[in-house]
Amino acid sequence: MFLHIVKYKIKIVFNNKAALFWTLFFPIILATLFNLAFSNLLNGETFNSINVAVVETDTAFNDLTSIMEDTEMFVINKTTAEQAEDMLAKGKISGIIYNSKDLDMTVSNSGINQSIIKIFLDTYKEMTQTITTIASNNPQAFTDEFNSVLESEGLYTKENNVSNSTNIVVIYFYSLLAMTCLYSSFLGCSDVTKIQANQSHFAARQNVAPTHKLKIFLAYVCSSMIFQIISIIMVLAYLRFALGVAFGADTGYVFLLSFVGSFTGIMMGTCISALITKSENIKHAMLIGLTMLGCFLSGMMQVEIKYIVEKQFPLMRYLNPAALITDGYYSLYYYDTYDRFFTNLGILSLFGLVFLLITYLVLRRQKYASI
Amino acid sequence: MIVKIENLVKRYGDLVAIDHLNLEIKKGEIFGLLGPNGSGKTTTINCLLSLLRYDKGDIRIFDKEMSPTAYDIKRDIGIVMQNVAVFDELTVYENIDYFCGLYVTNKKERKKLVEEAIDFVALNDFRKFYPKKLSGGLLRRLNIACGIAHKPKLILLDEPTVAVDPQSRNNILEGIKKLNKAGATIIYTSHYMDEVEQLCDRIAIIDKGRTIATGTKDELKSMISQGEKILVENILISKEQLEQIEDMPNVSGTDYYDNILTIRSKSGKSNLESIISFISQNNISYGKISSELPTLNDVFLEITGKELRD
Repeated sequence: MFLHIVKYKIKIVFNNKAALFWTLFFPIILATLFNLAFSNLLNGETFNSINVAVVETDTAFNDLTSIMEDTEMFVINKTTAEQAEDMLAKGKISGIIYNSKDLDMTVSNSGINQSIIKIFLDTYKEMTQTITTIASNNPQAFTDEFNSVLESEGLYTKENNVSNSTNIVVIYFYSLLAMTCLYSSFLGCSDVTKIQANQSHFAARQNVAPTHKLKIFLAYVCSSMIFQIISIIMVLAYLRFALGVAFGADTGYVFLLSFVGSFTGIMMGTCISALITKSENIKHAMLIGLTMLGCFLSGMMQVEIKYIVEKQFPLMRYLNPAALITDGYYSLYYYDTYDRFFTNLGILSLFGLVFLLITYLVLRRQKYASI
Repeated sequence: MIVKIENLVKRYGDLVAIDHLNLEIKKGEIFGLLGPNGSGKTTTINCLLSLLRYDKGDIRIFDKEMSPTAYDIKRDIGIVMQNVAVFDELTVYENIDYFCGLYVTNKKERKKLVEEAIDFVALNDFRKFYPKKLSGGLLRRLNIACGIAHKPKLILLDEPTVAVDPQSRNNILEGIKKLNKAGATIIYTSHYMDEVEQLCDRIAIIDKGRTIATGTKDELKSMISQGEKILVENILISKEQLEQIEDMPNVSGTDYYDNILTIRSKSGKSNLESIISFISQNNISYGKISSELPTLNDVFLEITGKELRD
């Protein structure tokens, strides 16, 4: 009987044009529009070493080039002043460093590369000046311990291992996927409307059948999950292969997050539908409102919102399923570790289970005060 | 008894929807629940099916106590709800198969039952149609097929002919008779007294949640003082002649207005013959004469003081 219900429910969902539109076609259309809007930004900003020319005018400062090489930030061309100026004019290099006492530099325009060269030289000058001053005033301070302090660089923010990609545009697509997951709440909402005798004539009729209500509920939820998983796989495939959106290396975890996100979405729908005995249109309006608000706060309309919310209301990130899903995808894409991903996944699962528990407590009621 | 309801009370806040209602329905009969809209028919059905929580009373079906988890009882009940409740996304065949599948797990047996149900409601030509493509009458037939496909012993039909064209209505009523002949006990609720009169072996008239009368249609009609009603149209009659008619032995009253004479007879008595002879003896001209036996509406009117269709 369970499979009988599942079979027909799957047919029903696949024949339901509204369900197909909201969980499959709408995300694909929106993703295509996002892609048109952000196509130039989709390629991640990878860091390329900066071409510089170093003109040696004073051998006393020879250690500059070796330090530059150690940073792996620069491609150094040791050359003459004339050749360097020619290269700069032709755009082959970003700047010329004159390796003299004053460490002058010449650039032809302003930009990130030029700023990096300037910052590097300023830091180098400050460090050299500091060491020179200590050497002349207090040479006995040069112990091994002091040297090691000089060589080390302290960072006063938390360090995370990150992958090479730093493209925040992917957040738009991840929050779109979060929306797709949470739109499955419509399916859950419809499932409960068809099971709760006080919500529809159809449900009243089903309640008269010699089939346990929770068995029908489980069969309906399974069918909705199957439909939703197929939909989300298609949306993921479209994003990955047609639009080239990056998801990090671990595809299994991407699917796991999509699965848990969809489960939570369906359970959110069943929970709201079980608690609110209004018309299905009112419940759908509520679900759209909740989902869109969640997606807005997770950066779907303006990516900066995600960071503002995280900064101003840090707890909100953990209370918003859309933010948990978006951040889960982003964690897989951006971080090399899984701590943040599993935190998101764990809280999201907890949401799903709480929604399920509430739905169960409401559904297990057998008789109604009014129909 | 197939169904026994004792002292059923259902309140919605201060409103008493069912007020100590008692019913006994025998095996093999078509039992009609007749009452105006809002009289408590559907509430009674919903309590009977354990969908509604009630305040007081006992409900037994097949001599067992009815409850939401009484699946052995539910297995033998078929319900045709007032509102059509089918999936728009499934075809006629699939809808019937879906509902039948909630009762019958054996696939082979279910297929046979579904085919029989389709034959029964004459939807063979529409088996692959989606509900949206069906007319109102065909949709009602599908609704019935979904409710009876599993061959239940007790079938509850809650106003199944509302908003149905006359042809489909006749098909539905004929179908109900066939189901009854095949052995099913039927509970039929309606506010159409002619349907109930035509179909039901016994009838309970319900008003304001109470059973005001129960019996066969003849038993119900014999409960009231009014008998046959004779209508004479386009008649010109004097005051003296009218008084003579009123003095006839079985006449309980007359009305004469706009050249139409209405003569009410006492319960169980007929005056048609004597009226015709009176008219011919007095050479009274008239247009048309007709006789009406009391209806269930008259029964309802006499007991409650209001029309059934109120």
